[in-house]
This record gives sequence, structure tokens and C-alpha cells, in this order.
Amino acid sequence: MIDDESPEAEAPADPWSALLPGQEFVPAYLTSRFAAQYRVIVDVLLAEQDTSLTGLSYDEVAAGIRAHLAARVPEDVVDRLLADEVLHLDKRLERLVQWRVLTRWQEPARSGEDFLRRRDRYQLTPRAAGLHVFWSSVDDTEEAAGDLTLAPRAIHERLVAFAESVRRAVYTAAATEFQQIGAMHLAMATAARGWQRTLAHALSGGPDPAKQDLLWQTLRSYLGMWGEQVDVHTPRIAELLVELGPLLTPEVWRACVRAALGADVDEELVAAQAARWERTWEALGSWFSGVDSQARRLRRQLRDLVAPWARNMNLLLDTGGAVTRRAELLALAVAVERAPDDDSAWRIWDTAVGAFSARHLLLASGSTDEHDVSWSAAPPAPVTARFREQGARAAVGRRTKIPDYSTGKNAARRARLAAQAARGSAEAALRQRSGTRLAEWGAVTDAELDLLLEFVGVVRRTRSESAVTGDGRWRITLRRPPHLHDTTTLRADSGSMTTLNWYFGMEPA
Amino acid sequence: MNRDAAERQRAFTALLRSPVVDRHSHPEVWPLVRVHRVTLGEWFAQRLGYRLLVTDSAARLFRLPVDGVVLAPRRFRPPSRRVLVLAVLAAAAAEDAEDLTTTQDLSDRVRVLSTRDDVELATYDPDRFAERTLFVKAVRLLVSLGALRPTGRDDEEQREGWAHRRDAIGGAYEVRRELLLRLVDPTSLRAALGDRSHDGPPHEAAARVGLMRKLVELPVVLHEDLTDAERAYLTGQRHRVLAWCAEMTGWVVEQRAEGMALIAADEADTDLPFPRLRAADFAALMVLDELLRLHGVDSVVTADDLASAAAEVRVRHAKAMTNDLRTGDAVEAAARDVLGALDLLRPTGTPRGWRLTPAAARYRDPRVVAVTARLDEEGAR
Repeated sequence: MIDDESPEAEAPADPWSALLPGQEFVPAYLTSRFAAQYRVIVDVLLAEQDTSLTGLSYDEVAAGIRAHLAARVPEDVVDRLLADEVLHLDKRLERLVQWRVLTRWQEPARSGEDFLRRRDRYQLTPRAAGLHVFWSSVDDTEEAAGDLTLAPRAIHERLVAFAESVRRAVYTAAATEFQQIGAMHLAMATAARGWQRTLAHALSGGPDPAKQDLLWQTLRSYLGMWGEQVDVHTPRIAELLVELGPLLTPEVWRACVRAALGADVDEELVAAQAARWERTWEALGSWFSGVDSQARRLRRQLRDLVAPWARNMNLLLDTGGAVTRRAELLALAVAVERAPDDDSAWRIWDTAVGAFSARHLLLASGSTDEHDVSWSAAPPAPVTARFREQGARAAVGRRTKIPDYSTGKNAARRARLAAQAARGSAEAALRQRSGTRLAEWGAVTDAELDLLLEFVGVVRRTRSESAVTGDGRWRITLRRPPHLHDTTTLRADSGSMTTLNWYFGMEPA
Repeated sequence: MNRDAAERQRAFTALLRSPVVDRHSHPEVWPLVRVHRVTLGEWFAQRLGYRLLVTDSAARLFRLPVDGVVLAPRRFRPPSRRVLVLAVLAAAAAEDAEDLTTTQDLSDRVRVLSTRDDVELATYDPDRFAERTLFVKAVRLLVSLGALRPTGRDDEEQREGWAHRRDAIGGAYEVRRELLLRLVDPTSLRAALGDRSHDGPPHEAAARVGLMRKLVELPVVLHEDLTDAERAYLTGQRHRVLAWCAEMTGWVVEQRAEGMALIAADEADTDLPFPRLRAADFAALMVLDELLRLHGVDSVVTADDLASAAAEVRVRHAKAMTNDLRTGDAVEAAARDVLGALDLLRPTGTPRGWRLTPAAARYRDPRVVAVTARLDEEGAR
């Protein structure tokens, strides 16, 4: 009967499991057919872990189960559940041991009586205890413990004391303080994780009373634990973190750990613990330092929650807690579809939804308050019926003009041609002047001067006497005069240029 | 008038025009609604019997029925009623959707919903192009009611193009649960479904509220449309009613022997501004003028009268007809739709019979300006 409980025990092995962690039996107690019984046993053993360091005897387990049940179900049901044909405690415990949920050992017999009673003792394995703690906390929204109220202030106060001890090199005190900081940090992280989960769940989809309640719990625990203190204490904590940062060398951390653990501890253990504490320290930094610290982000997140929460609350109040209008909407759809004609259908829609637009005439005529004059006698509305006589559209106003660029284009084309012609003639003129010095040129045209300047630029860029123009047609040579003071001035219409008396050469390249 | 009063009027008329206002759809009006929500709420509640709900992200005006009735202007070219059914189904489906959803997601959900046994509606078949087109319209309707909000402004084509493309997800929308849950007010729904069992005693201010609603919601209020109580209230409280209208809207009430009309100040204050500068409105105006000339105010016109008036307009203003208006009975259809929606031409209840309401006379003898001349002048300059 019990054999069919274990999951896939007889199935052929998966080749992966030879190399990687594989099948695990510890969680089997949660999925077994007798999970209710197993869970009670584990609950009892787990509760006892807080007070006992040595596990429970068989009798204590049995008594614990009875107490556990008595607190939850009526007396007569307890008896029924504990009846021998219902609860086979031996087998259950045996199975739990097989699944590595429990470890069992025997007490040594010290007296004759001991041989007559069962001397088995049971304890949860660490893995099973961890799993069960996790599993029980999954749907526990109250995990934020009350001790954590005033968390930022507490963290700040502990940090002040820690800083003081570190400065005075009293590492025992520093270690004590930091252990407390670590505990608070861990608890806050757990609480914040819980909040995140709740928020994500409660803000998705439509509102309902249970979700609203969950959100409200989250808000309350945030306010209780974190609240305005974040604003007050964050800057101070951040300052302390910055101030203390340089002091906390690896040696200091190790000294703290050693002070906490005792002098003759293994060096490896000290290093591991010091690394853990350093990580906690860094985590505190990311919580409280900077404009985008975790504390501020959390605060923003929770602040943004208030509006949807209030909105949903109003909504629920407004709708009498109803979060769906589906039935009503379907009734409306049926009524609309079955209305005798379209007008009635629209009347039903308008009455139900009431979201039509008001409609009014425009253009008030003169004397509006003559209520003894009929409309046909009163001045008509000042309406001007404009229309466009030709064309398909009834648009009025200025006719759109297609922009006319032709004049500009022509002018541009002419200018371009003229510039080309001027350049051509300038080229010819300069070619004629090849082999002369500039002083011999006399007056030049604007185009010639421009072209000369261009040539000078080409040659000077090469830092030599001669260069080929960019279009590859001419080789230009500019040779310095023998005397540096030998200058000349070229005159053109647009201005003049004073320069060295270059020797100018222009040959086909 | 001080600035506060002007702001209040602006917010009030904007809410009449669009009963769902938020910072995305009405960035200019939203702050005014927020600031003046107390006064606006009082105006709506005490004078019109409406409920104005202002939350931190949107304002929604509920037009609660009085004695089971809500008066809405006649729809102008309404989409088919299938769109309404699909919109309601999409709203029901959106309740289960994630906060961000798409046209395709909603369509899938509606398909499943409509095939469920307890939903006795025509099955939605997104494989048919016609249904997809209607579904896009339904989604647009939900957007206009604020229940869905497009996440981007620039993917209009993606939203509308979903009907054509099977492999597209359509537009992306944020589901606004607040407005989604408030899409339908339970009391209003009961009234809409004709459930009289919850009706209490008649509304104690039914006469005042009824009169005010007709004035601030409908294009024209004829004395004959008023109940005895409303007429009596108007006779006794005319000054008060007019003062309220002026205070709330800043508009003018045109009072005539046959009735009243609250005349909006700006084209944006009404969903069907008339006459706009377009051929269809011009044709409707000319047809109305023609009918007034031939038959006179308060007369009953038949479809034939309408057709002959339209033919006359088509001949007389041949150059003003657009291609749309040249086909078939487009001119009379355009005239009938727009004049009917403005309550200038009212169905008599007999088939193909309409009555020219007295207010139609305010559009008689419009001054016709041929715009071509002006354009040519400008061209010559």
C-alpha cells in the first residue's frame, strides 16, 4: 500500500543523473497520498527544533501529533485520526527516514527499563527542515516580523556603534554590532522580497477584495517597518558608509570575525565569515547610497502603489465589491440583439450606457428672446451657404498653388554656365602667363585671380614648388623669388592681393 | 464674466459633448473638470439628475434615467446594432484580459465567449471579413467610452487594418478597468432592460429635470414635446431655467412661439455641426429651403416631395454637386439624414412621411455664395 507512494523509484535511470544532481526524495512527503499525515509529523518535529537540540523520541512524536491535531480539529475527530487503522506512525516514520526527511538513532540504554521501551529518536535532516520552512512560508504573508519595526533607525544606530568600535579598534564590540546589522539586513531583504512578490501578484489583472487586502497588508508592513524613516536615516547611513569604507580593510574584517568566533578558530572559517560580512556591507551600500539606491526605489515603488490601491478600493466600494460586470453586460448584449428594430436597440444602449453626445443647432439669430414670435416670422439664422461651383471638392478659400521654381532653376543654370565660361577663359589667360613672374602680370580679371588663388592653394598644400591640380589637367609651379622682400600686388575688380613675386608655371600634366 | 465661470462652462459643455473625459483624450478640458468638479457635480446632479464621477484619471458622466427614460438625440448614421453587441461582448471579454491587450486578443476572447452555451447570442466569426470590420468599429466604440486606451497614437493604420490582415494583432490597448467596470450603471441597465420592478416612486423633480435635459441635450425643444408638468414648470420658472442655461453653458436660448433651442456657440460643442462648409450640408440646406418654400413650416412632406426638392437642387446648383451627390438619391438621403438628426425633419410615424418642424424655418433663405468667383479673383491677383 505504501510502496506505490515513492515517485518513479523503479523507473530506469536517466543518463543525466549519472553526471548531474538528479532525483531527490525529500520533497516526496509533500506529494504523497498521505501528505497530510507526513506534514503533521514534519510540522511537529520542526516546531520542536526551536526548543530541542536533540530530536524527539517516538513517544514524544506521538504526543506532539496529538497536541498538534487537538489545536486544529475537534476532540472526537482527533481520536478517529489517531486510530491504529488510520495512522501507522511506525510506517510513516520509517518512510520519512527512507526519504531522508528524518534521521533516526537510538539512545543508549542506561537502565533496565530502557530495554523495554523504544529508544529511537528522530530529527529532521537539515535539507528537509529547510524545505519545510520554505514551504510553510510560501503562503505566509505575515512573514515580516514585528521585531523589525524601525529598521532604518535600528540599522543606523547599530552602524554608529559599529563605526565607533572599529575606530577604537574594539573588535569584540564591533563584531557584536555587525552581527545585529547582518540579522536586520537579512530580515529586511526577506521582507522586501515578500513585498515584491505580493505587489506583482496583486497588481496584475482585475481587482478583487482578497488582492486588495494583500496590498493593504503590504503597505502597512512597509509603513511600519520602513516608512518615513528611510528619508530621515538614509543620508546619515550613507554618510557613515562612506566615512567608514576606507577603514574596513580585509584585516579589520578578519579581526572582527576572530573577535566574534574566538581566538583559536580555523583561518579558513574566518576568511569565509569575513567574506560574508563584506558582502553584507556592500549590500548595505547599494541599499542606502546614491540617488538611485534600493531604499529610494522601494519607496517609489510603494508610493506608486497607493494610487492603484485607492482606485481599486473606490472601485470595489462603488460596485459593491463586484469586480465583474459580465452578467450585466451579457444581458445588455442580448437585449440589444433582440430589440425589435435598430432605433430600439440604440435606445436600449443609450439608456444603459448614457454616453451619447449632446447635439445643438448653431448660429443664433438676432433677437433670441421673442417668445411670442414664431420661427417663421423671426429673423432667420445668419447662414451663408457657400459652395464651390466647379470641381469635386467643396473646399473654399485660397486655391493651393503649386510652387513655381522654373525661374530660379533657369537663373541657376545660366549662372553655372557663365561661371564655367569665365573659368575657361581664366585658365587660358593664366596658361598664357605661364613662365612669367607675377610682377609682370598687371591687372587680372576676378576669375583669373580666383583661379590663381586656387592654384596657390594646391601647390602650398604639397609643401613643394610644384603640384598637379585636382582635376589632373595642369601641373602648377610656383618658385620663390631670390629675395624674400621681392613682392608684388595683383589687382582685380573685386580687390587686390599682395604676395611674393612668384615665378608662375602652368604646364599640361 | 470671470475666468472661473468661463472655465466651468467650458468643462460643462465638454462633458455634454463627450461624457468620458480624461487627460489623454481631452488634455485641455481635463484639468478644468478636475478643478471645478464640485460645482459641475452639483449642476449635473441637481439640475439634470446626472451623476458625474471624477476619479484621479478620468471623468465619466452618467445620464441616469428619470422614470426609466433617457433622452438622446437621434443618431446620425449609426453603425449597425451588431457593432453594439460586439462592443458589449468585447467589454465583457476585456475584464479577463491582461492590462495590455490587442484587437486580436479581444477578438479571440469574444469568439470563445460568444460560443458559450449560456451566452445566447449570434456567434462571432472572426474569419468573416464583415464581422472583423464590425469588430474594429466595436473596439473604437469602447475606446470612445474610455474602457480601452490605445497605447500609441501613431498606429491608427494598424488598428483599422486588422480587419484586412489575418496575421496582424491589430492595435494595442490598455484596459482601463475603472471605466470598464463603470461602463454600465446598474440602475440605468435595469431601466434599459425594461425592468420596472425596482422603480421607486416617480422622480420628485421629474418636470424640472426633464425640461432641463431636453434643453441641454437636444437640438430643438417644441412646446408640444413637453409633458404637462414640464410646460407648467417652464411657465412658472422660465427665468430660472434660462438663467441656469446661461450659467452652465454661456450659450443663448432662442425662444420662439413654438418652442426653444439652446444654440451652441462653437462647432466643437455639438457632435453634428450644421451647416458645415461641405457639399452634403450645402445640399441639405438647399433641400430644406426648397421644402420650406413649397410646403411651408409644420407641413408633412412625403418621400416624393423630398425627391423632387432634391432634383430641383441638383439642377439649380449642378456645379456644386460632388461626385458622391450625383449618384442615385444621394442628395435626398444626405438631407434626410442630417435634417432628421437635427430634428428639423421629424418622422411622422407613417412610412416615408416627415414633418418639417417649426425650427426648420430658421434656415430659410440662406445666402448662397458661389466660391469659384472668389478663388478666381485670388488667382488673378
